[in-house]
Amino acid sequence: MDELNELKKIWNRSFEKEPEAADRKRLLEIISRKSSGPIGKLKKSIRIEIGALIITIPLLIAILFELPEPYFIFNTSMLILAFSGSLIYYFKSLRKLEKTWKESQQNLRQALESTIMLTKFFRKSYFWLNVILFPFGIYFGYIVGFGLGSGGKRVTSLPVFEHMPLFIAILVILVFVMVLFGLFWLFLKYYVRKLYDVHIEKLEEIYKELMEYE
Amino acid sequence: MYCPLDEDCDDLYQDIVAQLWRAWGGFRGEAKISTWIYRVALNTAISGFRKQKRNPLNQSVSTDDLSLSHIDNRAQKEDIELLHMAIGRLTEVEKAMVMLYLDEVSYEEIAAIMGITQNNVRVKMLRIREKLKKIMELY
Repeated sequence: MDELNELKKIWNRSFEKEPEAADRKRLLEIISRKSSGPIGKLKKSIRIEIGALIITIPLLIAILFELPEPYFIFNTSMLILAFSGSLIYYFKSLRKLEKTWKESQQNLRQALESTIMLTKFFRKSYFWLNVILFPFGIYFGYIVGFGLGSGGKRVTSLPVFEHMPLFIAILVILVFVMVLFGLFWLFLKYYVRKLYDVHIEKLEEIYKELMEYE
Repeated sequence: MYCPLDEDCDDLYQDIVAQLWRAWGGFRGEAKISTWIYRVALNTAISGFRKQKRNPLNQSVSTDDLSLSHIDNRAQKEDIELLHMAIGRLTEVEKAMVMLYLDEVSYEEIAAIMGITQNNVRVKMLRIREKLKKIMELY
């Protein structure tokens, strides 16, 4: 270890200069800023989802009063239920994130373990929640949207496709929905990969290296 | 060592200070305060996803930003620059361990900060020594 002791002397020489004290104003600015770490980013993503749902749900409730027919009440209620479920899920995720992160700050191994676990968990649930909500939202949104457009009248034929034979109309809608769903799936895959997968891979590499010889 | 670019460094410094502030409530005084600060700083530096595109894993550190105005001796300055450059070529975990070692942190404390056994620390330090030797011999 002689070489390392020699390096210690060199290392210490580079820090012989007295560090400058940061001024109070700058410190206050720093501590009030939002974290740009992984958990901070996860929290930000969840807060965006929560914000979007908090705006959407009251709008849907307002639509309930606008379209009082039972047919619309059922369809709008389905949307409200789905979105409310997601909202509760996101609130719970946010609390879980904060709790687990606080408990994992004991050492680097635990911090890496919980960052990888939480990020993977959130990435998976974010992906599947969106995949499930998408066709659901399209279907009920279509019915509620046209209900609003037609001044609250029940949709008895398929709007836009009403001049086509029913079989063809259903086929066109199916193809349209499948293409849209495929594009959405690809976009979501790309988005989630760009946002989280690359980082998870890097963190897993670091964790593997850390645990070598354990 | 974890941010070759100036702006990244500033970001990381701010993140660490902010994280220390937030985590302060959780400091129970069971470890030395320096150990606790190292823990938070390393957790933030290593687990953080920041500007990865501009900070690839094996990018070597620039020594231009080292503040060495207090050193007159040219040879000493070169030694310091070489050491920083060599450390910059290590992996994230190796960088953390060697910096802790050079800061006179004991193996026991390094093990506690990293969450691994002391044996693992010893094995890794041996490997780091070999690696640093090779890198420094090249220059």
